Amino acid sequence: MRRFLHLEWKRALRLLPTIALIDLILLVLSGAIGAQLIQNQQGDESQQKVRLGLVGDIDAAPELKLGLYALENFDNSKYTVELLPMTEEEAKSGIMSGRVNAYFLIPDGFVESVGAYADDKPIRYVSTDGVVTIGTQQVDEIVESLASMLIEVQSSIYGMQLIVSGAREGLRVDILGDEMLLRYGGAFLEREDYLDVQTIGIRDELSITGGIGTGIFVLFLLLSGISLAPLYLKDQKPLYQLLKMRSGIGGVRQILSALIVHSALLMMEGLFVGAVTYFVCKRTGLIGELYNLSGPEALKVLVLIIPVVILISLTQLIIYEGIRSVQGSLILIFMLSIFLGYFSGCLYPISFFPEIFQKLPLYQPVGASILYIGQCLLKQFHLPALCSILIWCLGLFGLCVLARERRIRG
Amino acid sequence: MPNLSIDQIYRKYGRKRVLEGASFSACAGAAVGIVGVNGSGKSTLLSILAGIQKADQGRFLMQTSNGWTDLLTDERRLSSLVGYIPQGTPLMDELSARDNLLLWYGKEEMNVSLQNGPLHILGIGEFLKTRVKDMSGGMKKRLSIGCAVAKDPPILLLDEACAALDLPCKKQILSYLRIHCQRGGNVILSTHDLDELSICRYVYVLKNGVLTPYPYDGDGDKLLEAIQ
Repeated sequence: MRRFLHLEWKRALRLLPTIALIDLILLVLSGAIGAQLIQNQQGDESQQKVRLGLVGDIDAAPELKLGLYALENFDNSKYTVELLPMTEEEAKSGIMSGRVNAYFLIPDGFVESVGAYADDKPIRYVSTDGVVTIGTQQVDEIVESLASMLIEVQSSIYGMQLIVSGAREGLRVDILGDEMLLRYGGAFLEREDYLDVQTIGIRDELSITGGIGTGIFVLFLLLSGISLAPLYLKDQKPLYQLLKMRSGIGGVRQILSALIVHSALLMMEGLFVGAVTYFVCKRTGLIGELYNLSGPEALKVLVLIIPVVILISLTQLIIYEGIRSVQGSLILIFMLSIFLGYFSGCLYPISFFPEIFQKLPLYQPVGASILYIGQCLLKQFHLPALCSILIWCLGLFGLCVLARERRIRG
Repeated sequence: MPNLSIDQIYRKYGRKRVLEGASFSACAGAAVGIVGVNGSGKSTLLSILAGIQKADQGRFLMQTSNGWTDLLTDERRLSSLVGYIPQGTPLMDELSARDNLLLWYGKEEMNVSLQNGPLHILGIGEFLKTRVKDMSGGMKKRLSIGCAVAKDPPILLLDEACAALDLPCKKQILSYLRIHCQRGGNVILSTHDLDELSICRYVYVLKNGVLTPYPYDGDGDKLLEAIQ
C-alpha cells in the first residue's frame, strides 16, 4: 500500500497546477459571493436605521439644539435613528417617496412651554397610514420613545436652569448647570446600563461576518471537489482490479489511500484560503473572531478542522465513486454543494428558515461542519457537531468502500 | 498430462445465466483461446479465474508441488500464480512507464527484467520515461502486460489483449506470449482476433453460457458460423 500511496501522491502533485488553476477560479467566485453577502448584510443594517424628519425652527432655541445634539451624539439611539432637519414640505414629500419614515413637527414656543411645565405645545409626530406591519409598528415605537426622550432632555435642561437661578447669589451658575446637566443627562442617556440586554446572534454566537466567512469557507471546500476532478477523470477500474488481485490491496485500503491524498489536497487548499483570510482579517478586522485569534490559536483552529476536511473529502469521494461519468459527478458536486450549503446557512442565515430547517444542520454534514468551525473560531468546542461529523465520516467511508468493491467486481 | 483445469464454473447475473458449467483443461506450456460474441461471458470467465469476481460454483485447479490446488479458494496462491491483463489499461496516466512499473516491481527486479526478462522482450525500455498519457495504444498494452507479469506468474489471463493494436505491436505481444508458453507457462486469452488464435493449442467457443471445444483450423468463416 505504501508504494501505491506514494504513486498516488506523485500523480496528485503532477496534477497540482491544473488543480490550483481551477481553485483560483473557485476562490474568486467564493470571495465574490462572500463580499456580496457581507455587503448585502451591511446594506440591510443601514436600511434598518429609522430616518426621521425634524421640522421646526431649531436654531431659534439653543437648548433645543443642545438636546438634539445630545441625542444624536451621546445616546445609543444614534445607531437606530437618523434625524434629518427639513421643512414641512420636504418632510411630507419625503414620507411619500420613502426617504423618511416619519417626521416630528416641533411647534414654535415648544421650549418655552416645556420650561413653564405647560405641556400645551406638544411635538407632533406625522407618519403614513399605510399597511401596519411589524416594521411600521417598530418605527412608531421608536419615534414615540424618541419624542419622550426629546421632551425629557429639554425638561432636564430647563429644570436645572430654574433651580440654579433660584439659588443664592454669587453661585457659579454655569458650572453648576453644566454639572447637573451632565449628571442628569448622563444618567438618562446611559439608561441601558440598568438593563442586561442579550442579543441572540444571527449565526449562534458568531458575528455576521464570522458566520458568512465560515459558511463561505465550507462552501469553498465543498466546491473544491470540482478542482480535484482531474484525479478522477480516468476510470481506474482495471488498476483497482489488478491491485486487489496481485497485491491484495482491496477496497478499504484503496479508499484509505484515496482519502489521504484527497484530504491532504483539500487541506492544502483550506490552509491557503484560511491563511489569506486570516491575514486580511488581521489587517482589516473584517471578521472579528479571526482578528481576535493569535497565530498559534489560528493554527490550532486549522488542526481542529481536520475532521471537517475529511468529511468533505468523503462527501466528494462517494460522488466520484458512485457516479461513473465525471461530468455527472461535477454537476452533482456543484448542486449538492449549493443545496447543502444553502440549507446550512452558507448563503443565507439559517435563522431565516422555518424552525424545522433550523434543526437540520446538526444532522447533515455541511451544517455540522459549519457549526463546528464556528465554535472553533470562538475558541469553544461543539461536541454534538463533532460527533455528527465523525458518524458521517464512518458512514461515508463505509459507502465508499462498498462502491469501490462493487467497481472492482465489475 | 493436464497442468491446469477449470471445472464446472457457474455464474449468473440476476436471472441471466452467464456461465453454465464452463470447464476445460490444459497441459503445461499450452495457450487456450476463448472466442464468442460480445456479452457471451468471456470477460466474466476470465475475471472469475483472476479472483476478481466470485463464481456461484466451480473450481480453478492447478497442479502444484502439493498436488491439485483450487486457486479460487486460495487468494495468496492465486495472486502469485496468475497474472491478469484486463481489457482497459491498469495504468496511472500522469506517471511514466517507470513509475507504473515500480508499483509492481522492486527497483532491482525491474532493472533485471528490463535487461533480459519479460520487460526486455516487450520492448518497454524504449519508452521507460514516457508518461502514459503520451503513449500509443500499443505502448500502453505492452506496459500493461509488463505490469501484469511482475513476479513472473506461470498463468497469464488476457482479455482481448491485442484489440485495436497495430501489426508490429501485436507481433511483439504474440512473440512474448509464445516465449512464455515455451518456458512452460500457460496463457488463457479471450479474443476476437484470428492472429491471437494462431498461438493457441486449444480453442473454445463460449455460447449461451456453455463452453465447447472447437477444432480451429485457421478458417475464420467457419469459426464465425460457430460463434453466432
